Amino acid sequence: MAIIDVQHVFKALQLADQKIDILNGINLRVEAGESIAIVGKSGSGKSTLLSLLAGLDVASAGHILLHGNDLSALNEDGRAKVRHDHVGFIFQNFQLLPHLSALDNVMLPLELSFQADAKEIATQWLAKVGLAERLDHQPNQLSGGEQQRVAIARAFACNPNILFADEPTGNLDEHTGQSIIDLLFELNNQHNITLVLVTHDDDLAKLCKRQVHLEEGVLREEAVAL
Amino acid sequence: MKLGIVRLAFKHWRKDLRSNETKLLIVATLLAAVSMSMISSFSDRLSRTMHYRASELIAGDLTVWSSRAIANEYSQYASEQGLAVSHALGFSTMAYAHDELQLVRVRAVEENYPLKGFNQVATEIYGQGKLIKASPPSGKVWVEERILQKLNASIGDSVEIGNAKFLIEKILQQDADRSGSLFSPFGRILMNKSDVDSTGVLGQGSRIFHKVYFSGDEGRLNNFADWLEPQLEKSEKMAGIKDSQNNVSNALGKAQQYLSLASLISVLLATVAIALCAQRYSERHFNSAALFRCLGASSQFVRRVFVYKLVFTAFLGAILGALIGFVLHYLLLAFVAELLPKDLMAARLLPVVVSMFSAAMVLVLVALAPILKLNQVSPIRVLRRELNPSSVKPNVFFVLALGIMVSLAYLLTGSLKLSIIFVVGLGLLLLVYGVLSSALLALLIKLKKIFPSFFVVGLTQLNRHQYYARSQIAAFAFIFTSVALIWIVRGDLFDNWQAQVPDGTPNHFAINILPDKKDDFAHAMTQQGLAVSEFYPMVRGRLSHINGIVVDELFPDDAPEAVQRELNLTWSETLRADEAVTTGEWFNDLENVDVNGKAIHWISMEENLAKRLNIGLNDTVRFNLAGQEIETQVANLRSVKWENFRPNFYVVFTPEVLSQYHHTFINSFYLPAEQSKWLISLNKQFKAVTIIEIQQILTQVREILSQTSIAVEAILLLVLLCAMVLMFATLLSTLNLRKHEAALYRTFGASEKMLKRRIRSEYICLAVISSLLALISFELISLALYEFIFNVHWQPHLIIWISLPILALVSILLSGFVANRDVLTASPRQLLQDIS
Repeated sequence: MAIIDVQHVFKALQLADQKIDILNGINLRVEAGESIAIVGKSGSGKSTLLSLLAGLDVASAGHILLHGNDLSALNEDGRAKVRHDHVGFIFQNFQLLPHLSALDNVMLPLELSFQADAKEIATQWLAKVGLAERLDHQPNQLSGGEQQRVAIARAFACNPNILFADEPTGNLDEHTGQSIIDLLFELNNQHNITLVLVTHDDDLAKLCKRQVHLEEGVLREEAVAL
Repeated sequence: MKLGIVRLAFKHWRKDLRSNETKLLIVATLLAAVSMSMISSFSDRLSRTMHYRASELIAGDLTVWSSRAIANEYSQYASEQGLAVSHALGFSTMAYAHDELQLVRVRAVEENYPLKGFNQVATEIYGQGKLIKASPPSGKVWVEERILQKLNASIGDSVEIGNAKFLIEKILQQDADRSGSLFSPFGRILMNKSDVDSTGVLGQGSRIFHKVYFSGDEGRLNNFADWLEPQLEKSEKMAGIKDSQNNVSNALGKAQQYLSLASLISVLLATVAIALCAQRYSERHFNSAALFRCLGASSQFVRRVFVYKLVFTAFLGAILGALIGFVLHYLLLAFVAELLPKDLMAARLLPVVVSMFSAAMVLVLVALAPILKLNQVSPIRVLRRELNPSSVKPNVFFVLALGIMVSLAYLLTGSLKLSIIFVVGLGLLLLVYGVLSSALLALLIKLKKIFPSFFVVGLTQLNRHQYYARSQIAAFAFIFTSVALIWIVRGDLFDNWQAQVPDGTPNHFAINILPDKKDDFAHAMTQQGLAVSEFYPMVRGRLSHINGIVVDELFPDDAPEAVQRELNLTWSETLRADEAVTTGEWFNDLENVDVNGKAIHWISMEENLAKRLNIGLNDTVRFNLAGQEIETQVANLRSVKWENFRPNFYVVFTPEVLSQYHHTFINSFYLPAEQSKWLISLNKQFKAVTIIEIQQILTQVREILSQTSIAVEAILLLVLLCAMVLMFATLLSTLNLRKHEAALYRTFGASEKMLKRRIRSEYICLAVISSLLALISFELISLALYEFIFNVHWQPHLIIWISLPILALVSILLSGFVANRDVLTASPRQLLQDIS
């Protein structure tokens, strides 16, 4: 069974008296353990598709099944539960809470499910991403690369089935970006997590097993053998 | 599960404590709590102590009196409750000595009289008085000076009352129970109650006044009063000190009203600061809330986390504030310790607890609407920052917040009228500020050609961000109005009080001055070097009928005191400067005959007496003047300043009517203490004249005023602190916007100097517009306050028109540059990072 099953999904925005179609009948199946890159130019609807796949937003029409849950049939809290149980995120702008330390940021998703050993798990994950010495540092005391490592630790710490990454190297220089990508794919391989990556960087996309191109709201698939 | 959320919320809240918004929320709540706790603890003890002091004026904490014998069960029950009880009888009779007869008022008291306060006695006429807590022993009496003068008697002589003869042991200068009329023409004798029977004066039909005094600790006394009230017969009256209207309670009342008002303003300032901080706090947490949602937290979870955090903030601020306020009230009391009685009432925890919960409730209710926005934040905001949650409909919270504000105001002022005026006024004021600031801004923009360029830069800047400009102008105008109000009202009230009891305020009254002796009396005073004030004519008369109906029929059981005794009536051609006609018009233009050609005798009546007797304009009132009846008609109702220590009258006639009757004159004068012996020669020269000394009451009022002034200074400081917090909160509310703009300007190459100039011109515009609004609203509110609440004459405050704009300019510029120091010095990258 596909872990993500997108069936004829449309997304349109109503702006005053003008309707803008962003996604036009998207169909996509992603199997468990697969890594897939969604590639496209700016404004092609990549991030919109990602937000629909992750249940952050709802489609105007069509169905998205995430780990067997029909997201369009769920309310906001229902979708939040699906995300909580199955999904991890990595964002272009890291999305760390500025008033929390690196450790607290990683503990956050674990604390949402009141895990007693949240601190131990978070500490281990920060060690795995090479930040064992920076546990108590606030985000503004860390470099961009380090912040993204914290975000990766946070994403993996709650042991998700699916990891969504939105331009994870978009805010980083080439060298740092590369180290983040290496870390991301290494951890992904180790834990066999389904990875859905949104990027406009073809080189990064090529690291995924599958690439799909989004142009003017329509998906075009290319099979890539690594 | 719930405990888990609380723990998580607590952890996040602790981290939040570093942020400026949370700090300001706590400080604003803390100041509200400090203000409430300090003032309510202080007022609580002061008023209970004043209550105690004032109870010294009625010789007990609670009295019951009646023209019939008072049921014995009351005393019995009071004794069982552990209260002290003392009985007294009052009657008028003739005293006889040295072949002279004199009508006197006797108070026969038990050994434990007075339960509260002191009798002031002396051993020689007009000698130095001594306060003693004792009453005459059996066989002996204490007699007022004026009786001794009339009877040609002195200490050691005997005086006959009815069948019994008593030794004059002491001169009574001041009876501990001062509830009787100060201006009674007859002097008082204090005797032992066990001697009453031997006089034989109390036959059937005698008019006897029965009185029981009760005293004890507050709780027992309150319980007893609650028990007693429903038991009382209609003829029996009960009074605690709160019922007694005297100069002391009037002065204290106004002082407390001011303190409460100032305290209320500080709470309102803090509340507006809380509202602004909560708004910014909420906006700053949109991203956190979105991340929570994105990581799978339900909306209920997010709501709980943020509400718990709010509750922690509320209680930290409220508990700390209430405790600081409690400690500060000791400091406040320490300032006035010497003026307070030794047995100052103990502090109570109640005002502290009430203040704590009230401050916490203010924060929770005011901040709840913006905080609840957070659970509406969409998780997609993690990808698209521009998505803000829609506003929470604030209706419910608005009503709740309004409710709590009125309750708080009521708690602080004790006046529902004042509370509603204030809270509704505040709402309207902020609304009007919002509308006016837009209008004013639009007008200034239209006229911008006439302004210097730096001002135009500021105007353009404000106009660009109208939403923020409006709220900032409204908040600043509110701050300046409040500070100006509290400052000027304080000064005016003090001046007004000082004007009531300036140096040289009369400390003696002279009554019974015969018309042919009036000029001689004035001459005697001039010779002594005393200032001669106006002589008021006085005729004694009883009010017998209202609209043709006998007053006994109108008030069969509970006749007001004023119709049970003779009233002092006067006449006057003109309205006195310190009085005002509140209904109707003065005599000048009134017809003196009716349509049938019958003469109309117009009178002017004091408004509160008219209210008690249900008398309105044109009602007829009949007086009995030494057996002669005279029908009068009410021309107007008048307000009287009872606290001005001058002869005041319930009823004023026109001269042509009353001057035909036997009358005497009353005069008040100031006599320095060292000249008191002069009164002896004065009395010898004018035997009929009675001198009444009121120095003690005067001193007491002065003491209260000086005590109050210190309290008022303290609360003023608190108001200023609250105003400063609100100022920072206001400036912080636009900090992000400023940072964003500054980052762009800096990126495009703007220097620090240029940024400074922009900010300065914007703040100058803010100061000009907000101080203009503040001046208008300040004058309007002070007018309303003076006219309707304090009854003080109003006039425009020129000093404020000069000083307020300067204050506005300096304070906005200073605090503005402090709040914006990062904006001016940080690099564009840092600024953008801060915003994100």
